[in-house]
Amino acid sequence: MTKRKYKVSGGIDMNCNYETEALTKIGEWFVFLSDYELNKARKKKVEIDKLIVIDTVPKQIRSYYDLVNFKHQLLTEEITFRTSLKQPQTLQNDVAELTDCTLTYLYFFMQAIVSINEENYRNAMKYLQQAEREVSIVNQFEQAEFHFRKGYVHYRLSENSDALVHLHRSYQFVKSSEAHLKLKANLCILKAGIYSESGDYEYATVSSDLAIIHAVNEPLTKAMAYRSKANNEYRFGQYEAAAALYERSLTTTNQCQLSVGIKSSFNLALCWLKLGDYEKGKALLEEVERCLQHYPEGLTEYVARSRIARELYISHEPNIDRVASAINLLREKRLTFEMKEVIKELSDYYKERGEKNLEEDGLQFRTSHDQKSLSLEVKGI
Amino acid sequence: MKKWICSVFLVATLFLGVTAPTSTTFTISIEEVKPSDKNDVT
Repeated sequence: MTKRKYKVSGGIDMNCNYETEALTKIGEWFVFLSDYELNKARKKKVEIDKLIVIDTVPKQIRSYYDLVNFKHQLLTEEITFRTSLKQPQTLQNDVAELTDCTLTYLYFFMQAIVSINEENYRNAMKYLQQAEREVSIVNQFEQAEFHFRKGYVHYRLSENSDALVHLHRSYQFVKSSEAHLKLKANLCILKAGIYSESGDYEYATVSSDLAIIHAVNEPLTKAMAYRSKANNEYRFGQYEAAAALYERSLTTTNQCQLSVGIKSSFNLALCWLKLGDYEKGKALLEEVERCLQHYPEGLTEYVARSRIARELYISHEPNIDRVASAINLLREKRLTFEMKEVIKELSDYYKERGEKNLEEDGLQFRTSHDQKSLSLEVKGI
Repeated sequence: MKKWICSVFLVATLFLGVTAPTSTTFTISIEEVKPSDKNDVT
C-alpha cells in the first residue's frame, strides 16, 4: 500500500494506517449488519463518521462506505418503501473503478434494491445475477439476505418455483439464528403469498401467522405480515376479514409516508367498495388518488388499479378510455401478473352484471374452448 | 365471397386510407388467477 496523506476530521494528517483503519471499521460495520446486530452497527457507524470526512477519502473507501451505508439504511428501514429511493450519486461516478469482490457484490445488490423500488423487476434480476457471481465471498448471513431478495424478485415476476428455491436456501442459512427473526418473518410472508396464489388458503394463513409471531419486535414487518394475511383473505373473497386485516396492518405502524401505506389504503378502499360501503370506500379511494398524484414513482400498479376501481365502482358508467389507459400503464411497466389481475377483476365485474354493457364499453371477453383461458379485447388501444 | 371482402378492404386501406379500428387483446389463464395483491417485505 502506498504512503498517502488524507485529511480527516479535526484536520489531522494521517498515513495509510488511517486508510486501513477506516476499511477495517467499515468491514466490521458490514458484518454487524449481516449478523443483524443493528445496535452495534449503529454505534460502529457513529465511530466511522467521527473518523472520516467522506469527501476527502479515497474512492474505494468512499464507495465501500456508501454501499454499506445503503445496506444499513435498508436494514434499519430508513429507505424501506420510500418512493424517492435513489443510489448515492458518488457511487455512479466511482463504480467503473470497482475491483474488489465485496464492493462489486454490494454495488449490484444495491442496484437490484433500487430497481425493485422502481418496480423494474427484470432489471433487478439482472443485477442480482451479477451480484450472485460474487456472493460466495460474503458470510452466510449475507448470503441468506441475498437469496431472500432473489426469491422476492422471482415471486414478483411470478416465477414462484424459483422463488421457493431461494427462500429455502435463505432459510437454511438462518434457521438456527435468533438474531434473524425479521428475515424469517419476511420469508414466511413470501411463502404465504406463493401458497395463496397456488390456491392453498390454509397454508397461506399458517405462514402469515408465523410471520406475525417472528415479527414481534418489528412493527413494520408485522404490519406486512397482517397485510399478507389480508391479501389471502381478499383472494378468497373474504372481503370483511380482509378489510379488518388491512386496517390492522395500517394501524400496526405509521405508514402514512410509505408507499406500502398507499397500497394497503387502496386495498381497504376496494374492500369497502366491494362490500357496498360506498361513502367510506369513495372517500378513502380519493385520498389514495391524491397521494398517488404526489408519489406516483414505484406505484404505477396502484395508479392503474385505482383508475380502474374508480371506473368500476364509483363512476356512473365505466369509461373505457380510462380503463384502457390503466391496462396500458401496466403493459408498459411489464407488470404481467398485475395485468392478469385487473383483467380478471374486469371480467368478474361484467359477469356479475350480466355482461350487458360490454359492447358499449368497448370491451369484449372470450373464453377459450377448453375454458382455461380468458381473452379481453380492448378497442381503441 | 371472403376473398372479395378481403380484396375490397385491402384496396380501401391502400388507396382510400381507411384503417380498421384498433384493438388490443390480452389473454390470461382463468385457473391461475384469483385477484389480490402481491405481498410486501421489509
